[in-house]
Amino acid sequence: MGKSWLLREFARQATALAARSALIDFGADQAYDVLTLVRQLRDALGAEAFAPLTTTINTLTAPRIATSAARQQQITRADAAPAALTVKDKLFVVQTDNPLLLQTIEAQVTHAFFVCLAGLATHGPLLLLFDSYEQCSHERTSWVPSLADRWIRGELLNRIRSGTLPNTVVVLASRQLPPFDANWAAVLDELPLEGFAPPEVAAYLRGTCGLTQLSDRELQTIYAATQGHPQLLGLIGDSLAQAQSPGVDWSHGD
Amino acid sequence: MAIDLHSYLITLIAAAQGAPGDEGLTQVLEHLLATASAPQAELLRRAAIPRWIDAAVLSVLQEPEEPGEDQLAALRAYSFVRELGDGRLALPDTLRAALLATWRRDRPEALHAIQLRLYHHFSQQTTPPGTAGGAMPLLPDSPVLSVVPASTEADLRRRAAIYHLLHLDPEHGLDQLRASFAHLEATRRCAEAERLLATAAEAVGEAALGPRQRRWLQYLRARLLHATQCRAEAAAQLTALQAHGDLEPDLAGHVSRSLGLIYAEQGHGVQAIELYRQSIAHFARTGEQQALAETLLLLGAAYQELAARAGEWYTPVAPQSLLLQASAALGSWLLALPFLIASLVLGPGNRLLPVPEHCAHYQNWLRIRLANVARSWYAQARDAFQLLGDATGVLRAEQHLADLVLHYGYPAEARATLEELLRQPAARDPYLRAWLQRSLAACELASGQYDRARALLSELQAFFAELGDTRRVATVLALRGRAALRAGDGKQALDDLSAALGQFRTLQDTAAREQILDELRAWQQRPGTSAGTRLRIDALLAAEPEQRYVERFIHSYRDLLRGATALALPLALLLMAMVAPVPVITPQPNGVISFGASFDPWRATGVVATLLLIAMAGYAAIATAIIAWLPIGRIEREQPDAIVTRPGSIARYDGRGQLVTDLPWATVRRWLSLDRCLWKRPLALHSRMVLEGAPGQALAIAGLTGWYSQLQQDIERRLALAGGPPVVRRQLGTSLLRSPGGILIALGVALLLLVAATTNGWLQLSPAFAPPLAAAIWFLALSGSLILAPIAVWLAARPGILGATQPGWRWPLLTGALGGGTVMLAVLAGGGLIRVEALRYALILWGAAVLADALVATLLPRRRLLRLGAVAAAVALSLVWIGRPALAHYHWLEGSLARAQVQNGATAAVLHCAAAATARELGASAYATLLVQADCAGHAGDWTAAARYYLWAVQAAPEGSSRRALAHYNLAVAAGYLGAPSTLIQASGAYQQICARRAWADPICAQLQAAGPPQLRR
Repeated sequence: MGKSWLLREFARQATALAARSALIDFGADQAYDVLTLVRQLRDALGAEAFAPLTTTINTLTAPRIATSAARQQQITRADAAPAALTVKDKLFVVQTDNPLLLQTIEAQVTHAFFVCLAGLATHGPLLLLFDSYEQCSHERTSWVPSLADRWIRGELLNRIRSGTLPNTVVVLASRQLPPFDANWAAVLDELPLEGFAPPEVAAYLRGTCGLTQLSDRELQTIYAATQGHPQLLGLIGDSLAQAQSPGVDWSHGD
Repeated sequence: MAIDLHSYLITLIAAAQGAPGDEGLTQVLEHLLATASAPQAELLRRAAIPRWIDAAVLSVLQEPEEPGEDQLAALRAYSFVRELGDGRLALPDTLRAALLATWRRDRPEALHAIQLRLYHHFSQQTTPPGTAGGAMPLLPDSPVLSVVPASTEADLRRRAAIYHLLHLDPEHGLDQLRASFAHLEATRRCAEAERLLATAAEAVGEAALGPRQRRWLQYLRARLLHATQCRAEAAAQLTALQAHGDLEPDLAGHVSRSLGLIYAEQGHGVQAIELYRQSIAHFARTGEQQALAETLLLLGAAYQELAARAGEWYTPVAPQSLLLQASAALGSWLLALPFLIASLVLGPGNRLLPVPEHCAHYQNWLRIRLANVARSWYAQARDAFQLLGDATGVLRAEQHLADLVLHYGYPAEARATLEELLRQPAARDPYLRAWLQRSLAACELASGQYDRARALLSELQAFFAELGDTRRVATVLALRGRAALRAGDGKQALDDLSAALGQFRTLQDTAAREQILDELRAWQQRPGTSAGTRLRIDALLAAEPEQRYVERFIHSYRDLLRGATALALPLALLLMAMVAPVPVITPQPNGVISFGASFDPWRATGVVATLLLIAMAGYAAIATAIIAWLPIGRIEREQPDAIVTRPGSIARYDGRGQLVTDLPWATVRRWLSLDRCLWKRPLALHSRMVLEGAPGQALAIAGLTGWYSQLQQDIERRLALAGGPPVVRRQLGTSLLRSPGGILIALGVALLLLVAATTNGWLQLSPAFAPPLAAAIWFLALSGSLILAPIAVWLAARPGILGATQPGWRWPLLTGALGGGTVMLAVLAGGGLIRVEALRYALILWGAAVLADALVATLLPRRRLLRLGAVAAAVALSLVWIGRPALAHYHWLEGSLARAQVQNGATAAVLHCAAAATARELGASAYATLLVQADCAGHAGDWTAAARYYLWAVQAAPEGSSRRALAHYNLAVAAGYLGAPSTLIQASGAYQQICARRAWADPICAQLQAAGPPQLRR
């Protein structure tokens, strides 16, 4: 019932409003480099709109046996592929001992991705959600950016700030936020999550957990003890639900 | 069973309230577990052991008889269990940590057993790191770029296996962690490496790892930060590790090397070298031969980088005029001669020295030394790779060695090596092969095969561009630009160099960018470069946001070279003055033998030749000291400083790359330059400039800084753009020849030559020149004042103003020593050594003036008027001291010149012969002055007076000397004219007696013998 739930709720509401959304959870113990990020975002937003990206990825992960001119023709033809054409990603991962080669590949993939994304954004709003963003820092006490964080902030968020990627909203859910300086003030807002209010506590315990027999006084006591802390409420709800097994006669001790 | 909900709730609430934060969660969880069925509770506890759970993992956690599928659903039903996707679940970190703590406290053996089962489960489904795993090379026969099918699940399982192994066997787990990390790092799969280390870090948090494993993990994290371009953070981690002081040798070696790599990439070559050496020592102890070999290669590259820091080989800018070009070429050839001999002696197989024309310039010696050190490390790396059987490593080391041979100017040798390398099996790799061909193209370029080089480089550019290797594309472009330049295709050259410059700027490769800028600057200054090209180059240079200028010599030998070059010309003149004058004995038509002096041109030439040989030998000796003998540790410590100009400021960095001074352009309020030139170009060793900013903030730039004149233009341009109050350079220096001083020197040299020619009898002194005037001209010419005065101004002019801003500036000490030494030489050596008397007096004046100026410049540098006063006082005091003897010498010159005119038939000059008597009264040599008077009287026909003077000269000459013999002879001649036979016989007998005692070997006696005995003429 915390950040993750909220992000899923955002995604659901986006779908209801016919907006495309993508959710990436960095807490899923996956390795996210540029290729993985763009692939997951592509798949979540609809791969059919990213055919040129997929073609670019396939081309860049293909053997270098052509001459320069022929290769350029190959890329040009691929870029010109109609959007409706479904291109299948061969799902290769690049290996190299030369950081510049990887940088070049990633730069081309990034460029292709944002061309497609910008095109998609013209058809409707886009919502990109990133959960457990604290996993994108190498350290817990200070922010040391991971590859994923650098790409998201350096490429994605910068394009939103500069206006080259309109109609796009990004949500970062994290226990530890990366530092944003004053230059971000115009495009950034922070939403601290408060605990549940008493009516929400009641709705959760009685509605979601099915604990309809809880009295208002008991709910008030629970609220006073937990201050609406979602995880604590969840545990209490689970505990009460578990204790309320079939055949158990709950009495109120009076 | 009825449960009192209210009481249960109270217990729950008490648990939640009893401990704040996560502790409260734990307490409530315990209640949850307490109210769950035993199997359910056990499932929850076991679910905390792995980092995530799926159906397969659940089956490993459970006993065989327990059902699985329903349990997964039961877990999923809990609100705190997270869905990770792909059917995986996980507990929150806090709850998992609490449950694990309970396991370790209460059931450690059971925990161990489950960990073991989980490790086996995960490790059975992964392939060992570094195996092919379906990798497909994108370049045939080359590992440089390949792809593998995405294997997210396999990576998850590998990380999970390592996680559990770290708990079971930390040491073995660490080995696997290192191996996996090494493979991921080598293939640049940094995201997987990040997750791997994050997984291992959880084991740290769970207290599974000891200090040794933690330190290794910290090291691996630092390497990952480095691989992902977070250099500062990586360096901080590695430095913190080093601070431990008790690292295991293997870890210490790796830490040192990784930190050295970072320093090398940041341009801190000296620090990188220190660290590489440390790591080599550690690897040698631990026997890690592969790491040792790689580090040897890195060390060679670090030294080569240091050598390249000062830019390309220094070659002096060719003058515009053909005559000066020829002179410069001759000078360079002479400087190169000792090195040519050394190269011949060393032979073709021992390339310790580059081609002699590079060795000739002291600006290149440091580079040569560092390149030689690099070569020795490359050779050791090659040998180490050979022992390991690493053919690729051997090839890389050999290529470096071949590049050095080429760099030293031996393209044929380098080509032979490269062609041999291209035949090796390891060179089948297209990527390696292309890089070897790049070196081959450089050989073609050096051999003058420009078209072949350009064609090859075009192919290579396409190859690297297709791969996307922007650094190598830029390197090839830069080389192709040079080839186009040599081939005369200026447009292509500019296009290629400009493109390469832009790429290196993007890559932040300062060294490569500066090499291109050097090439452009040299091109701009080359004679024959069109105005349009110069403008275009100017625009390129002006557009470069940051430029670096490095001093081209080490500090400790700088003053030695300065002193030697400053002393060369004055020393040559002084030695000529000592050696060239020779006494001459000339028989006159009237029978008298005249005694005088002339200037032997062969002696003067001999002095110049000897000095030249000594200078060449000394120059070569200093070169040998720096190239071969100076300890390399000292050279590393004395790396020259660098001046960096940026849009906002100008900065000085020391040899270790540490910032010393950063001066914003907007704060510069004064710019002083003391450029000493012979003609137009500042002499590197004797020039400097200072930029002054806020009080106490100044930046001094030595003339030895590479591209010193271009740096001045750069500063001027940036100051103009800075927007502050206009700052104009104040020129304090002088041009020795292109100035009033130069005119004086030319006049002085011309007069000196005229005087010498006239003295030697090659020219005749016109009777129109009255002897007093002629004597004044002679005195002026022979004193060398017209040469010495401009040199004094040139050496000591206005150093004080610069000295005021440069505490510890030693130039005034040098000039003071020069002045004092000159005075002492002139005074102590006296006429015995410095036979040109006028010069001796001038040297005393000159030395006193320079010494006085230097003293005030050292003690009170800002007091200009005081310096002038001190100079005036020193000159006045010196004049008081030398005035009388100088006047005596002048009168002697007058009498002597009058004698010469009389001997040439200008009898009117005889009146001026009496000046010799005046000279005698003022203290001049009685013998010399009497001879002048006697010769004059004889030529005038007054033999009575002549006889009298000759008699007095006999008495004035030392007893038994050949001079007395000469006086006797001339007395006999005079007696012959006077018809005094007894005097004639007596005088003849006297000179013969003296000469007989001297065995007639004396030049005077030999001349007397040749002339024959005087005869009676009346």
